[in-house]
Amino acid sequence: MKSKRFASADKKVCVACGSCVLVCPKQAITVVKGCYANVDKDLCVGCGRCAGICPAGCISVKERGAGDEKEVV
Amino acid sequence: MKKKWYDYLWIYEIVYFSLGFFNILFAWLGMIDFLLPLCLAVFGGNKWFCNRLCGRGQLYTKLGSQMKCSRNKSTPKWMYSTWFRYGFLLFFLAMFGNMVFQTYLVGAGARSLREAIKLFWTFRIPWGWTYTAGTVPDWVAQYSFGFYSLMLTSLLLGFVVMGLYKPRTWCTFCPMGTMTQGICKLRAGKDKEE
Ligand code: SF4
Ligand code: SF4
Ligand code: SF4
Repeated sequence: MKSKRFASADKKVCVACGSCVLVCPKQAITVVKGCYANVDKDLCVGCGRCAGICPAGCISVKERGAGDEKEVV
Repeated sequence: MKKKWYDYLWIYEIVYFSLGFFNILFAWLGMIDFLLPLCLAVFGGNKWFCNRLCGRGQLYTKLGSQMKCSRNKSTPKWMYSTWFRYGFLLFFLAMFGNMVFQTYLVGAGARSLREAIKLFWTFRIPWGWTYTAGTVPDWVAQYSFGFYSLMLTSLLLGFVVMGLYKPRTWCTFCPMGTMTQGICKLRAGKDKEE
């Protein structure tokens, strides 16, 4: 079962420091080509640790939308 | 996660700054922190340095997160805005250029060696005990004092914002971080066009 929530990072604001990568217990985040952080929604458990550490405050934890819930069988 | 050798680079960071209190010539080692991230960005198109290798980032995390020396409050918006990040980068590069110019003047014999470091580009602190005159050409020593000044100033600035905001708030406007991300973005943009 997937978690109710998941994190997502704002590409435009992210400074690609990688702080979030290091705190994620699920290794769900990667810094794409040194440009921005990307959260793998499928791995993310919505714990919010990444959002807490991000110095640029660009990660928000969201409820999984209707589209995603269909995936959870 | 299992610890890798590079998770201990924060120790190197402490060693680096300590050495500067004994022999200023060790300041040259800091060039690694300057050239390696750039090489990784230019040739590898990544921020592997910031993401894994930077001892400074690790030190801020250690002190800020683990030792709770950070208030862990949100970084003010302007501090991670594009104009401030690139503005600070320009300012830093200008200061770096000035430092190189001073080194050149000393090398050319137009100015004598000053055995002092300058903090926050303002406060001159005598630092003569770390250098015995004549050990190396004057310009080599001048560069050491200048470079160490920049490194120490930025480390201290980083500590201030670590205390006030998030452990790694410095990383939002760190000139190396901004520069490497900028290079990576340029590279990624090019990849897309091809
Ligand atoms: S919310 Fe938790 S699991 Fe999801 S990316 Fe952030 S740290 Fe990882
Ligand atoms: S911590 Fe924030 S700024 Fe740093 S890489 Fe992660 S999302 Fe980007
Ligand atoms: S942004 Fe600067 S201080 Fe932060 S990890 Fe990168 S090089 Fe190190």
